[in-house]
Formats: sequence, structure tokens, C-alpha cells
Amino acid sequence: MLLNSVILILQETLEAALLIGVLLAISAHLHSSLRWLWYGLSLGTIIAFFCAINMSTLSAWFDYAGQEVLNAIMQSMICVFITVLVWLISSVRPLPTAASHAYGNRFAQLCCLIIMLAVIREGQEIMLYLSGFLGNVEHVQKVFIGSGIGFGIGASVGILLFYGLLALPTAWQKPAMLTLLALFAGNMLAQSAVQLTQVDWIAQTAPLWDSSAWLAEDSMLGELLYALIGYESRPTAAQMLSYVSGISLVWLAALGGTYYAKQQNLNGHSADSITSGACVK
Amino acid sequence: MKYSIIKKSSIKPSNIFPSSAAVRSLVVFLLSGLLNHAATAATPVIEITIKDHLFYPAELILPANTKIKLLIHNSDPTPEEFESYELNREKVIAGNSRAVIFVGPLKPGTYPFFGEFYPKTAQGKILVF
Repeated sequence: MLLNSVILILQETLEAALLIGVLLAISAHLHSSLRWLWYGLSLGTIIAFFCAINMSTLSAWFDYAGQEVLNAIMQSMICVFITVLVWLISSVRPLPTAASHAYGNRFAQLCCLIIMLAVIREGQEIMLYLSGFLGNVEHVQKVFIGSGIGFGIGASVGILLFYGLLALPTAWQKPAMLTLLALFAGNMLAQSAVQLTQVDWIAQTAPLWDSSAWLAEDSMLGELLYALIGYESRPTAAQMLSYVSGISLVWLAALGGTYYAKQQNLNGHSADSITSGACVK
Repeated sequence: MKYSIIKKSSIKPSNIFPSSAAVRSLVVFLLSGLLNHAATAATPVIEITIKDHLFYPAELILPANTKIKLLIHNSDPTPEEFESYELNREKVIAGNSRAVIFVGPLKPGTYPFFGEFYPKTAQGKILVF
């Protein structure tokens, strides 16, 4: 039971931890306040709690497709918010070193929403899992210790990613962060396609390939790659299409934002003057 | 027979969200290029029960290339998560509730599934011929 709890909680925490790691690294870059993290985590936890206790009702929505539809909506929203975030990062150039209020606020709001959504999705599963053992005298201690360890490992991987990103040569940091965000966005959209396929809102088609013999999804590396780049050993066409769409959205936002910033700079408005105007209070 | 196929869905439409049909048809309309139009009413339904962290039946035999609607009753008071890497499915089912998962059309083969919350006992497989 102990090992099972470690693995289960690690699986659920890893995705959110990696996402938080990247956002924290960007935040450190901008010298932004970290309030968004606490707001995102606490809001997400509160909403996840209400989702968990009403899971039975939520699942019955849309002819028993409620859980999947809500998950797909949240995952698509994460993808959209990441896209907007990437536009925000790319369209202000040079990046304000000490982030101005307006810029910092917009950045913090987006991060808060992304983290909140990620925590709702994973948090409700963790809460349901733990709730099942609350009255179980035999297992409750092992399950909670195991969950603590799993949570600790997940959080450590996120922290490792954060320091890893900041340890990169400066020129590589922004491309690395943007690449990770693009992969996350693609992963989220692909997962929403899986959710909708599960309830037959998207037709199930034969998998495009089967790489489970080379790298099983339930292996350690498979789990890490699933959380990091959305690795799936048997992806369908709808999944691949959404994955590529998510990545393309973020890529276009980065390109568009960079172009916009160049135009602004050519017109003589430096990025700092745009944002600093709004924060004079 | 290890399984029973029920011709029509035995689930009554949910009363909790009255306009779900309208919302669904809107989404279907909006994403009609991607979404599946096929009527789901004719999809065969197979029922699975979770009891004492075990699946009943633990082995299902399904026809190849057919879409099947799994209706899973969790009769335990504790939640369970139906999961299968081979089927690419994952769904949390609250205690004393039921859930619907569509599988297939599948190629012939063996597709194991398990309850992620109690994996030591909750094990099953779908055999497709």
C-alpha cells in the first residue's frame, strides 16, 4: 500500500510540479512577486475539495460525461492561458528586469489561473484517493506516509527543474522555458482529446503507433516523459492533432509577440515605457 | 456467458443538468469536423461492478472492431479509479456511484485494466476476438 501511494501521488503531483517549476523560473527572471503561487495553490485546493465531495454529481452531468467534459475544459483553458502568457512574455522587449506593476500583475494573474486549474484537476483525484482510506485503520498510516513521500518527490522534481532552468546559460533560458511551455500546452490539449474520446464525444480511432514495447507509460521514465512532454505509447490521430495544435498556438504567440515587440521598438516606444505608464499610481 | 450485452442504455438522462442535450448538440455542431456524429443509442452496454475492490466480472470478452459502452457500478463506499494503459482510459469513480466509459473499436488482443486506488486486488482484462 505504501509503494502504491508513493507512485499514485507522484503521478498526480508531477505535472503540476513541473508546470510550477517553469513558471517560477520565469517569475524569477522577471523578479516578480510569488504571491500568484500561493493564491493559485490555495484557490485550486479549495475548488478541488468541492469538486471531490461532489464528484458523483459532477460525473453524472452530460449523460455521465461530466468529469471528462470538465477536465477537457480545464485542460483547454490551461493551454489558452499558457498561450496568452507566452504572448505576454514575448511581446515586451526587453523584458522589464524589475517588472512594472501592470506587467507583473498580468503575469501573476495568468500564472495564478494556470496553477489553480492544474491543482483542481490533480487535487480532486488525490483528495478522493485519500478520503477512501480515512476510516481504514489498517492502511491509513501507510497511505498517508506514502502520499507524503510521493508528494515530496514530485515537488523535488519541480524544484530541480526550476534550478536546472536558471542554471542554463542566459541565452538558452528563454528558449528552454518557451519550449517547455509549448510542450505543456500541447500535452494539455492532447489530454483533453483523450478525455473527450473516453466519453465518445470524439470518435475512437486506431492508435497511430504502439511504442509501449520500447518505453512503457507506467515505467519511471514513461511517467516523467508523460508529465513533461505528454508521452503516450498509443496515441490516436485526435491526440496528435491536438498536441500539434497546442504547440503551434504557443509557437505562434511567441513569434507574434516578438514581431509586435519589434514593431513597438521601431516606433520608438520601448517596452518599459508601455508598461510603466500604467503603473504610475 | 461471462458478460451480458444490453441493447439499450439503461442509464436515465441526468436531471441535474437539464440542458445538457442542448449544450452537447451545440458542441457537436461546433466541432462537427472532429466529433463523432454516430448515434450512441445503439452502442452495446456492458456492466461491470466493483465490490470489495474487485471487478465483477474480472474478464470481459468483446467482439473486435466494435464500440462498447462500459457501465461501471462502484458499489464500494470508497472511490476507485478505473485505469488501463492499453485502452488509454482513466476515470475516477466516487464511492457508491456509477460511471460510463466507451472503449473500442478494438483490434483482437488482451487489454488489461485495473483499479488504480486498490491495484493489488482490482485487476481485470478485456479479451477481444
